[in-house]
Amino acid sequence: MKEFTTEQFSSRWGIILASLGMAIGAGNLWRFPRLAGQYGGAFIFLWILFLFIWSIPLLLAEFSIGKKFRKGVIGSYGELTGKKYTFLGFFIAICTLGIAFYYSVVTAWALRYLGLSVSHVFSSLSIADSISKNPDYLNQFWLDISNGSVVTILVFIAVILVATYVLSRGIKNGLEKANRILIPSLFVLLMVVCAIALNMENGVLGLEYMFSIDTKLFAQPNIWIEAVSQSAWSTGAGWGLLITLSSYSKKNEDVTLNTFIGAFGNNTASLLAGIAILPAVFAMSVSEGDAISYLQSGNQALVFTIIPKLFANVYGGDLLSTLFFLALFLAAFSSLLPMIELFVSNVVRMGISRKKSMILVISVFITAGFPSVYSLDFFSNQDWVWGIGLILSGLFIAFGVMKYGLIKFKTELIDVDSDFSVSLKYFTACIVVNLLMGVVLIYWWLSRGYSTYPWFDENGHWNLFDVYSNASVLTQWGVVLFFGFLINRFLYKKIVSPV
Amino acid sequence: MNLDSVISMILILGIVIGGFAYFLYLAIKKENE
Repeated sequence: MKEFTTEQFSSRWGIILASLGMAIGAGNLWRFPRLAGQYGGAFIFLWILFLFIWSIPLLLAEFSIGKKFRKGVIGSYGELTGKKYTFLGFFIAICTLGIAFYYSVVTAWALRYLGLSVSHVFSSLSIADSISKNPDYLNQFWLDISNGSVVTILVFIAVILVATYVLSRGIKNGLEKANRILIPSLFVLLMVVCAIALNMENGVLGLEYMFSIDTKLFAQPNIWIEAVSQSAWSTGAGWGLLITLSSYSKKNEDVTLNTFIGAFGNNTASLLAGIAILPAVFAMSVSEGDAISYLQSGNQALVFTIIPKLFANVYGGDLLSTLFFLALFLAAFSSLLPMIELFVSNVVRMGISRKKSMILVISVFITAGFPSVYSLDFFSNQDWVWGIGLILSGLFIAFGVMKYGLIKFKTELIDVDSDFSVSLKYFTACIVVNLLMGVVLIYWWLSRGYSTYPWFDENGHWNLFDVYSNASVLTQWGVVLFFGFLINRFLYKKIVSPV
Repeated sequence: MNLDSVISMILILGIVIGGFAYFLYLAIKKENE
């Protein structure tokens, strides 16, 4: 059997910062404020509930799978479940790569807005002037940037090149060193932005809205789906990224405590981002009703349209806008690194050198990410397909744990080096509940049909190209699963057990 | 701010940020041992 030399993080803080870097990203600064704004405290309540039920058990499982088998996502999953089910690990890897391709675009948007802030495009005078001529100015500005802008495409390519360069330096000298700077800076920047937003007039109304719980919303299926998928999206549960990172941990690394730090640290960053953005929306809206209706529209561009406007109204706004987009870029970039590493680790296991795999990263990421940087519709489709795909990935991880044996998994893989442990009843109940809940949530979501024509269009054709159709989601999942199933033996031979 | 929002804010921030601080404290304590 081939032996692969595996680098390790230099200390416990290396893996903790890497898991924080992996988890804290665009999900916290771009996705969470949008959803918290749409549903308020009811969403936050469910999102915390799913942290305990969905994300923490899956993250515990992922950390221990990677630490035990040290073969990347496909290899470790194949080892855990056996030859027959290696293709499920393939689905987990492709689902995360599906996200990574458009995630690199979000990173590029953040960098683009950072550049615009630095070059004073969002200075109070120019923004106020433009908005007075056209109230929809910032929204149109955002649509121009996110739909086929040549500069954005170039920035996107630059992001891929820089990320590849960082990872080419290895785990200790690349990923670990980058996170030592990125993560602490991110928390400091977020706290600064929070303090400014809360000090604005009416800012506190945003805080009141964010934490007020409208119990009627619990009857809506979509708030449950959004809460579980946001928890998964943001903490990285079900992504396989923690399997990748913990492959580089020390052999006696503490699974439970490190997982809890990553999960709670991630949710802390999300709350800080919410406290920064929602009060800002209230502070700048003409009325409270205006602010609520804007937030409830679930606008994807929330941070890209609100933040420039917010900082245009305060003294030193240019600098603050720069700080916010720097935070967003750092968060997104630190999450993009492990996604690329996931790709690299699997390619390396197929016998390709790390250096050569970097060339593959550049070509694959630029090609596969291009449609999302070119078209916002394609981007939204991918966010929808693979964002919900994380529920399926989570189901596969729960299935893998059950197949290995719940008690055996908990005692042999999780508890072995952990200083404190969660109860066996909690872990087993959550894994079983997650399996059932995942199936119910997917069925619930399919039955709702978020597109006008969820399955067939008005002409009776399979509605494959609709952004939010069930047909598009199931086709893409189906293709990956079917292809994975076809190459299952090849995957096992090449990645799990290479001769 | 109304009382309900204040209570839910304290609970949510207490659980999440308090939890994060506590687990970080445990890790630092373990490293210093």
